[in-house]
Amino acid sequence: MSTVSITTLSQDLRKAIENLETKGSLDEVGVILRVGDGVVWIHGLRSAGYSEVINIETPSGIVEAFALNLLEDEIGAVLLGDDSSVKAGQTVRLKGSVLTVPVGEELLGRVVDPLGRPLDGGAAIKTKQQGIVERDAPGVMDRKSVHEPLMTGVAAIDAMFPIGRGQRELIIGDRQVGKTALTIDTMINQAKQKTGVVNVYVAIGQKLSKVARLVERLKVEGVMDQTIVVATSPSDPASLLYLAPYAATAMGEYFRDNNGHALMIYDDLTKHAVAYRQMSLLLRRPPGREAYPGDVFYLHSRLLERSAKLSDALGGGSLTALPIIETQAGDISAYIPTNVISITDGQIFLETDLFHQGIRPAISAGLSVSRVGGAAQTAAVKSVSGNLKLGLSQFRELASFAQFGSDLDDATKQQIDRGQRLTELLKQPQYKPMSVWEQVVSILAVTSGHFDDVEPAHIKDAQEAFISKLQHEYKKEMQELDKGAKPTDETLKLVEKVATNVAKGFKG
Amino acid sequence: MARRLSRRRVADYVATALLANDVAVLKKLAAYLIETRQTNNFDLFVRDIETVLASKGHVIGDVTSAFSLADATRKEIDAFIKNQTGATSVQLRERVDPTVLGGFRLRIPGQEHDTTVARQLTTLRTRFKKA
Repeated sequence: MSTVSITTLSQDLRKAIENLETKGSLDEVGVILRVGDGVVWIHGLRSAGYSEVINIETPSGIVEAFALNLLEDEIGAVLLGDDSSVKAGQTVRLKGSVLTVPVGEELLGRVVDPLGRPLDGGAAIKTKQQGIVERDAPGVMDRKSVHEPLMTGVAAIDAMFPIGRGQRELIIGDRQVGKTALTIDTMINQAKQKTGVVNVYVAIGQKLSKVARLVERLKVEGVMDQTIVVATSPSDPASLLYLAPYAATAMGEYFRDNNGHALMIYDDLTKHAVAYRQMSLLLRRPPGREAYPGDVFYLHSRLLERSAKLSDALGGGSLTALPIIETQAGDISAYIPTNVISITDGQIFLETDLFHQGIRPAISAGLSVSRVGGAAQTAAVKSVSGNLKLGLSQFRELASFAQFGSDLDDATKQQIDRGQRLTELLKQPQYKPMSVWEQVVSILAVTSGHFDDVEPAHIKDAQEAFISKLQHEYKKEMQELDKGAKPTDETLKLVEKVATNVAKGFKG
Repeated sequence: MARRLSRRRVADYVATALLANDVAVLKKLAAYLIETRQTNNFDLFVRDIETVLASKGHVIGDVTSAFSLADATRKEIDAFIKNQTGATSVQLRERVDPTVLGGFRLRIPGQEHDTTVARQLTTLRTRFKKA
């Protein structure tokens, strides 16, 4: 245990007393009328603004709340702390500011709550700057179109649904289909490929055991040093769950605004909407569809609009968002999923059936889409993945017919054979993101037909041997390919030659 | 049942009537509270009426201190309120409460001036908790 000297303590106390407010003026105050379920109703404070912080004076110290319902006769505010010491009749004051959180590089490697308080048992976080939680999104002239790739390291995504820096790509699917796993791989890839992208993972009402496992894994993979984890658990007040993504976005915006790049992962927005519904119902706002309040669309649109690629004049930083939505029985036409689908620039839909068939990541080629990522796709990957999405989705359609064993023409047969091999190829183990060159050569080997004679069951082995051979014997060429430029004819010939040789060893 | 009016509008009407020496308005207010079943909100109506009166220059305030106030202090508080709010008339209700430890707390409608030792201690406690 650390010891604190009497002198230090005494100095701290002196400083604190010197800084006490001793202004000789009147403060605007109100009084608590009712309190319950994390919501307080206040009489007075007529000049309070929306989302303004309110200090409640309790015997055990000041508890903060923020104003959400500004009515003619009273104010509804949501508590940010423990409500056990808050009682009717207590005095409340306006803090005079909207909610802010600490932002800066000091947060890297830390696990914090939505107010920036450490949850990892580490030292108190002292940053030079504070970020506004509810900040406006960049305007039209402040933006630039998405053009730089954000490599996830997941071949199926980078090849078929590329994501660009500044894009919002939704990850959607039922529970336990690998949504979080996909985002963890993306975070790992940022460290492995040394992209310099800072990860901000927001756990909204996630079990703390899950968050602890995730942090442990990020530490093992060496990713935690460039990651901020903002965690809330199901036992936290709904107000903290509501604030979590906004506060985390403020932390990510620091990097975006300082010419850097950040990746936001919101895990997940379904729980966020549920927390907001709880708050809204307690604040007696009129319920709408599925009891969500009328502004539930705005809840997510204003959050995701803050993800952007900034113009060169503003430094060219970016904030990319990967929001996660959990569906029930694969129903993507439910209220919250359709809202978020319409807000984002595309979605990656994970199918339960594919997951149980062992196709992992269980990405549905037909229902997934990336609306703006094409412009940001790495030239090398783009050159080999032309018809991949179409071919794979057609294969999955055809495969269901082929089960009936009817006679098939040669073209259909070849499409099915190729599709089976592609499906096998795009299976990828967790925590093993692929670099650009690995993706390019793997896809090329199958789409150009070099692995046509390899049995689907042996495709992964052949792919491994193929990559290993190229890595050891043609390291220089592969390093060049890894830069992302379109492969030269010589490189293509070299890759095809090695692919043919490797395929011979796995001929079925 | 009659339509409910906002407390703010009722308070505005009553305060204006009181300033015009129309004391009968209090009976009307009582009837309104009974009819709209808001008698338990009476103190809130009083606060709102006091707020409107304060905005029109008639301040009614409460002073809480650990010891009874000296005449000089009372005068200074009166002058302070007039200076801060531009009030023309000030009425103070005094209360002795040893739990404030020292200093005084002045409450006028919607505003407060708190120099009590108890409040300073609460602020200190919160600052040390945050650090």
